[in-house]
Amino acid sequence: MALFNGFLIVFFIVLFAALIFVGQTLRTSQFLRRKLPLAFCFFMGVIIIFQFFIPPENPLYKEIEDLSTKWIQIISSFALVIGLISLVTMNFNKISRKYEDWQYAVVLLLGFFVTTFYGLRDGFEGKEFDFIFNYMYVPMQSTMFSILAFFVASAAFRAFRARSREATLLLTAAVIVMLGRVELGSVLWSYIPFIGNYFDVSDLAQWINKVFTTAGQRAILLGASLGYIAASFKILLGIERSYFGSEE
Amino acid sequence: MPLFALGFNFRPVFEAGGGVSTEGIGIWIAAILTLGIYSFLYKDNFFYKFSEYLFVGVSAGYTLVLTFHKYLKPSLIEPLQEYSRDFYHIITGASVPIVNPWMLSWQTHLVGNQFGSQFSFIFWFAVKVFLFYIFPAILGLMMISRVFPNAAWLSRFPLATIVGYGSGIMIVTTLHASVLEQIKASFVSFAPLFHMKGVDWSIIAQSANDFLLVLGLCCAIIYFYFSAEHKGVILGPASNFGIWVLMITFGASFGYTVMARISLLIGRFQFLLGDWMQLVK
Repeated sequence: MALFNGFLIVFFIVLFAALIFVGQTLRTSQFLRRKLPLAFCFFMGVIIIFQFFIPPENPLYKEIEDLSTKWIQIISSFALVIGLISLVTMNFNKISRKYEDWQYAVVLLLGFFVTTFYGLRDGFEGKEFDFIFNYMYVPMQSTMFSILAFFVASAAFRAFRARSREATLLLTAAVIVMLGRVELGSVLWSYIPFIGNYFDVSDLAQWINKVFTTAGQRAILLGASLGYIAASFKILLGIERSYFGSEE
Repeated sequence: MPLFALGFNFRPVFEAGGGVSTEGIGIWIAAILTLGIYSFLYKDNFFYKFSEYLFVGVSAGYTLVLTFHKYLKPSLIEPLQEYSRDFYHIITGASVPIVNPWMLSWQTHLVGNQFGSQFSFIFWFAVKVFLFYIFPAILGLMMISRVFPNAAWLSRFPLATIVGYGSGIMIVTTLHASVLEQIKASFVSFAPLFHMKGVDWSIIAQSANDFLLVLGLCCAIIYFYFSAEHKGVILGPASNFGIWVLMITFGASFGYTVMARISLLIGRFQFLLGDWMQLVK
């Protein structure tokens, strides 16, 4: 198996070198640079749309789904490598040229390489990787997200001024939903004369969600979806090519 | 150590037997990093920057590991290993069990060892492996060609594949789930209101809610209709009501977002005060 893995690595290195050579040699061909990628895009999109019209019990449906999912998973995995190459080279440059805050780039690279090493070596079951995940990644991630609570509160303080009818509606809906989500909200609500005893704030929050939020979100979703579909058709037909880069 | 002097019962790093506790060290590291990130609330400082850069590095590493073990390994590396091993065993006639079901069906078909069957097997094996594994791997390698400016144009092929796939998926799934299904869900029935025996307040309330929902939806869509000026007897008031519905939607969404962040904040404080300082059980 080790021999086979070695062969696989050599095979992909040779393949990559050959691709780069071919890429450099044929870089002036307009057909290869523009028309063929557009044909690829069209073909892929049409295959996926075609799959929609095949009954799920037909083996062809499963084959197309399996093939397209595998392709996307493999290509996306390689696309991630591009991002990581960029991250590592940028931080190496920062360290070698002693840019401002270069010391932190060392911390970043250390975090990246240590996590990658233990993760690739032992998988998710590894003791060291598990330690990094549980005591570094998870706490830092939830702290980063939770810190937004402070910024959201400060933004709300500035934005939530009942200066107009619309702003008042926004403020009222937000306050009712927030009160409806906590026990303290129900307690405070019960002190409001008449309505406080008549119904609970959590019921009111649920009603807002069920009626107004559903209506508003559905309207936005319908508009955005029609836009998505139109943009997708433009991409498939080659009218929209901005994803090719600045050259187009 | 003034906090120790105040009598805080921090999570010990050492176990009762004398050994080092991995969990204790982990909790201390997590607590220091948590406080490091919260220190940004005062101002940008060394502890925050350290935690921030470490988070980016660890996240990037975690994403790479996740992608490798969840996608690249099961979609490319393991199948290639499995197919090649089975192919070698079938061709050499080794008495080793064949793992892959597709290859197993070929093995039973090849009993008798005719030249035509063997040729057909090798041909379909090459087609399957190339189409499912080698070709997407070539597209993946083309993506990495972006590193070389003269060959960077090769990355247009994998990009076109991903964008084409995404567009195809978007057209069919969005049309189905976000347009047709949403429209279908908006066609509510008021029949129970007309077939009601006596006064049933639950049916009346349900119908009123449904009416308000449809009215809100139509008015919010009218607000997004820009081909005519929002004036007159219908478009003007409808557009205004649409704005109110959207404002309530945004307010409610904001409220839910705030509460989700607050829940995370409570979780972090529970960790600091419970697991680390051991003040809260």
